[in-house]
Order: sequence, then structure tokens, then C-alpha cells
Amino acid sequence: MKKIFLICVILFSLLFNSACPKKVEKTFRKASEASANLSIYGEKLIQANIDAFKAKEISFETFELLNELTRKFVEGVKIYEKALDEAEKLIKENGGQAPVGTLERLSKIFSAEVADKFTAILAKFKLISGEQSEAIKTAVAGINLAILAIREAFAGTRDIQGGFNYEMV
Amino acid sequence: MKWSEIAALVRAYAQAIAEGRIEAKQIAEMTDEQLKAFRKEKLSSLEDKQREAEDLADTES
Repeated sequence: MKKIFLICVILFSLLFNSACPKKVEKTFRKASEASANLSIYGEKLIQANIDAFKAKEISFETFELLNELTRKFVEGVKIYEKALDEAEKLIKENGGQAPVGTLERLSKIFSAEVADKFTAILAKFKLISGEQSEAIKTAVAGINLAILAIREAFAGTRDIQGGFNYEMV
Repeated sequence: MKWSEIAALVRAYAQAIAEGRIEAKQIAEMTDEQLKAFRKEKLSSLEDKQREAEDLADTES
């Protein structure tokens, strides 16, 4: 009876120690696709800010405020992209399986470096519902949608510890 | 939140979804390697655009 219990424990830990390859692949693909959208809408937002300022639709103060937001956003996306590459490398080295904790750490990096900062500033400046140009509102909404897609991809990620090291840059 | 603000929110999200539909389809059809290269390209464009905005701010201040 003890032996059977022990075998069950070993099998269980083998099965759940790393996330299922198909799920990992799917999560990764979703996070990767949404990451491309982050850069696309980010560029649109910066362009919309430049255009609105040049057309005198917004003041220099508002232009600078948005510049500050996009500066932080670009830095965050760079960190997340780097983490995405590192995690992908680890998964490949591990035969398509995510070493324990990899996806959760990636999710944490995304939240800390991109999502939380962006949504905090978004709430502060009422970028979508305030007196901004339509192009700015659309680009901000696009970034928000990409953030939601990445959060959804990482939702339910099971693995908890280990994986690659995350250092703030 | 005012009704006008809610309407602005709905409009912005609807527009973003409509604008992103074609790109989303193209991205979904890419292989993993193509997607990786595409991500790099877009990140590089994003950085270039931010530099452009910084230069404009420096010129204006």
C-alpha cells in the first residue's frame, strides 16, 4: 500500500512539476502574439501624440506627459521582450516543457514592468475618456486590449517556483 | 463616470478592435520564427518612434 502511494506521489509530481507542453506552447504563442500588438499599438500611440502636438490639438505639457508614459511603456516592453526570449530558450532547452515557475515569473515580469505601470498612469490621466485626440484614445485602447490578452494567456499558469532569474534592469 | 466618457471608451475600443483585425490575422498566420522576427522588428520601430518623440520634445523645450 505504501509502495502504491509512493508511486502515485512520484507520478503526480512528474506530471505536474512542469506545465503540459501543449499548454505551454499555447500560452507562449498567445503571449508572443499579444506582445507584438503591444509594440504596434505603442508605436501608434507615440505617433498619435506627435501628430496631436504638431496639430496643436494638445499642449506641450500634455505632450510631455504622454511622452513620459510612453517612455516607461517602451522600457517595460523591452524588459518583457527580453524575458520572453529567455523563457523561450529555457523551454526549448527543456524539450518543450516549461521549467517549474518559468511562466509564472514571466507573468510577474509582465505585470510589474508593463501592465501595472501602464494601467496606473492610464487611470491617472484619463487617457481614453478624457480630452485626448481620437487616435490617442484608439491606441491606448489597443494597448489595453493587448495587456488583457497577455493576462488571459497567463491566467491559470500552474507552475510556481524556480525557472529563470528576474532582475530589474 | 459620465455617459459621454463611457461612449468615448466604447468608441475607442471598437476602433482599436477594427484597426487591429487585419494585423491580428496576419500575426496568427505567422510561424513561431516569423513571429519572433516580427516582434523584434516592431520593438525596434517602437524604440525609434520614442526617440523621435524625445527629439521633438527637446526641440520644443
